[in-house]
Amino acid sequence: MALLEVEDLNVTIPTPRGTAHILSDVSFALERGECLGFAGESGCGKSITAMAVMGLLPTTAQATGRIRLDGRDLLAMDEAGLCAIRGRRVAMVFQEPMTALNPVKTIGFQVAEGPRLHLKLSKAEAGRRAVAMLRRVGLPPDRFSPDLYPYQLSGGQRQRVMIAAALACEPDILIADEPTTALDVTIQAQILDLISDVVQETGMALVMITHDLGVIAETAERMMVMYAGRIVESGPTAEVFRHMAHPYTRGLFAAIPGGPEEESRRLATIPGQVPEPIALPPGCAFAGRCARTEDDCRAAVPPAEPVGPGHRVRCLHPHVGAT
Amino acid sequence: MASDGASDGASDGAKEGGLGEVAAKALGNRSFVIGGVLTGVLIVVALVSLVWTPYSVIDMDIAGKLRVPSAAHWFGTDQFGRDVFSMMMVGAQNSIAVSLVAVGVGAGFGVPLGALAAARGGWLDETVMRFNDFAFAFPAVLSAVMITALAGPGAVNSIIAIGIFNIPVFARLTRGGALAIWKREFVMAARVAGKNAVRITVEHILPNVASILIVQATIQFALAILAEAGLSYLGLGTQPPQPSWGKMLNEAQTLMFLAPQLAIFPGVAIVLTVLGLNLLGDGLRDVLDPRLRRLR
Amino acid sequence: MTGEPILRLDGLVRDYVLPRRSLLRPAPRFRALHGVSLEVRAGESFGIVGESGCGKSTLARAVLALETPSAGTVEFMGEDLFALSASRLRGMRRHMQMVFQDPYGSLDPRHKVGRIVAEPLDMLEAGLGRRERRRRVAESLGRVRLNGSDADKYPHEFSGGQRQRIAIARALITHPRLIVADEPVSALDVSVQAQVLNLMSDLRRDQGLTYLFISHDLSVVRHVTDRVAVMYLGRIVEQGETAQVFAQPRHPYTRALLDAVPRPDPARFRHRHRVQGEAAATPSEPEGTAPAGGCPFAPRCPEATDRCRAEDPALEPRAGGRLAACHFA
Repeated sequence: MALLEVEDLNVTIPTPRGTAHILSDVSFALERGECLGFAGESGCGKSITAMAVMGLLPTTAQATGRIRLDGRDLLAMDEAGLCAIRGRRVAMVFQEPMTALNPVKTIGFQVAEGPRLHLKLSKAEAGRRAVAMLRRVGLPPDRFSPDLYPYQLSGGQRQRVMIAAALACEPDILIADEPTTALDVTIQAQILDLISDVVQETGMALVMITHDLGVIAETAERMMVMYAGRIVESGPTAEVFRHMAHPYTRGLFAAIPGGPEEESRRLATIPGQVPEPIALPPGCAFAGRCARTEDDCRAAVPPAEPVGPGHRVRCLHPHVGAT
Repeated sequence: MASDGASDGASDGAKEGGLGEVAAKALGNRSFVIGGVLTGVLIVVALVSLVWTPYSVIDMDIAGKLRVPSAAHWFGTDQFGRDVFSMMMVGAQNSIAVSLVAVGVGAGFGVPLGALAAARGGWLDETVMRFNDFAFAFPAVLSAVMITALAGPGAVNSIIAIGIFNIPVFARLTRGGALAIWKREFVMAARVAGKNAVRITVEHILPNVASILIVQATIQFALAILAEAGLSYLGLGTQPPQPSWGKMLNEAQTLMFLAPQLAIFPGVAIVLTVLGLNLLGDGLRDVLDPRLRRLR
Repeated sequence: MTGEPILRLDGLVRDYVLPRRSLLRPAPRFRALHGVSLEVRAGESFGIVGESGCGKSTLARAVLALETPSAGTVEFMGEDLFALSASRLRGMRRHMQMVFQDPYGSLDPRHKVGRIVAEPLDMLEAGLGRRERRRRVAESLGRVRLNGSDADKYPHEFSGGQRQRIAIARALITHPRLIVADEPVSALDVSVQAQVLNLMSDLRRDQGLTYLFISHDLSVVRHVTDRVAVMYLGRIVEQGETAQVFAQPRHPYTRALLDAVPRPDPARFRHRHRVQGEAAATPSEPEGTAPAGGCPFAPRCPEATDRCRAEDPALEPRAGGRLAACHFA
């Protein structure tokens, strides 16, 4: 049994203008120790998927399907049960290290908070663990006292504190939601290395959520590409990059400056815009922007069909051959 | 990519007129409508009282004092036999005058001061804000007592006294809001477009802080009515025989068990007016925000 | 393709006075620009790349005379901007405009698009009639491939990419010669980013614009600029033709930057040589303080020697028209 199994997860939010389909038929499994990447642009549903796993969906949202952690359905669980899981079994690192830390508490206190709450450690024990965790993420106590406040640290150092806090309870799953988007590139590289290292050391599973295919390539063994609330392509990262099958994945890849299109000085673009979640078309949500669209694309949502080893794509006319 | 969906929705909304659209939005806003009706009733009553009241508010009728409400005296009579309904009507004038002038003085001086402090910064900002703190540090009513003691009691002086203590409220609020707007990139864009601080303040800063100022103004309206009532009770506000809701309420205190209606009517009037103004402010804020308009 | 210098910065220094920590000690200063000199030629796209705190945004504001440097000069179209009278400076502003990072923050939400796009005309080309203004707005919107009718809408009715086009339309309305673009695409999704970058390339070709393109994103800078200057802690550490700088970086910081970019290529070896540390290393060290005397990058540089820690290298010409500030470049 996989550590985390998400099955037919659908999330809708009623709005005055109609029902917004935020997530549709999202299914995936996460094995122990696996690094899974979610890629896609803003609004594609990658962060909402993480929120659903954490049981932190907005109160107006309605979720159906199953999210099983070790076989227990999180969607059916009450708030008290979820509280015991959040931070303990599933931890999260957010994009904004500025706002994700409490500005009036010391970093040592914030790292020790989880162990005190979940592991019932004494204040002294939790404090010792916090120092050890901070040391592990590159903030040794001789230079970075646990009595420092977040404002005394740089963005990269704050993100290290966030990671230390996330690791402190030795969770089974670490969800990193755009953990380096707000950071400078040299700092981003350090943080990505740090995340990869601690994941390897502790054997926990990693869910890496990012808009940056480069970050996926560096951190994830398996990846999912999301578009308009659906997983449109999934598979082992190397396989997906070698044979991108969905036109959206290819479009996303081609739009990155510095790619093979460099010579022509023009970037490949994807025309049009993502359909709004209250007005999704009956067929493939990408059909309106896709050069390969045929009539059957607009009729029904394409099923996720295998196109390679462990590689599935929701497209009736996928690209074949190397990227 | 040439079209990029840029023409999406170009047809809808573009032809609707700006004013008609605001009006339509306003009528669809429940707070605005209820607040508007309550405030409107107050204004109409005050206007009517200028030319007509059922009875004169000066004539006393000791024989007919403390009557309960009846067909002849809708709200009954007070301890001097004056018609309460007529007094309430004239009192509405008083409330409007007090609140308008007090808020007018407060906003008229406070908003420019706050905007100036935010635009200039440095020692000017410090000076204005420390002066503000100084004014804030005095209990407003105590200071109003001081001012009316110096300048003599009377409706006008009490209104001005209340107005002066509205200045720091508006100055502080304007400065805080303006400082946040000054940091926005569209202000930088205006500077690139060659605009000076005055134009930027008028065109970008004030429209963007207007919504919080409007809401605050309605709260200050309400507070001004209450402050005037307090001053009148101390004998420093509206002078007899001119009626005022606050004065009526305070005079009714001693007669609470004998004639509760004397306290109830002005009390309810103040509550409804304050409620109406607050609803109006809330509604206005939403109506004036273009982001809340035309939700497709 | 590129001609005479249109913009010349000479020895630009900008100090900020920080809040005092103690009444008795003088207020600390933070040097955001540390003597920056460069030339941008008419018609070229010149990139400034660096991480936060390197001074690139301060540089942008100084170029547009929004901020007065503590020392040094900015010469634009042969005029020293900080020696000009206010009215002459306003006259110069027609020729230089700016595109900002945040497409949500750079458009006043209370103004309609038409008024936003026309804003530079208010002061810089005062006295245009209503009809002429409308025509210019429509023309400018057309150039960024929006409709003239969009002028009657509010910014919130547009997506991020469309808003950035509106911001570009505003910058184009006075027919400027120089556009300073401060991280113009970093807030956009990659597919939208590509649209805006293509648009900017087209505009440059069609309108003969000069770009000063500021970004932290190396792939973007590589794609849209002809020449590039790499900044670190308020100084230019390397400068040259973009293609050359990216192909053969001379300064260890440039190499570190390039190496740190995650590539969309899973076949690449995962752990590479990373530069360690941060520009602000510990909480006790105030931000942006370089060790006195030495190379500012020395504390993080894998190749630093005693000489680097003692002697600040000057930005000097190297082979191939390159400039680099490193003893070992």
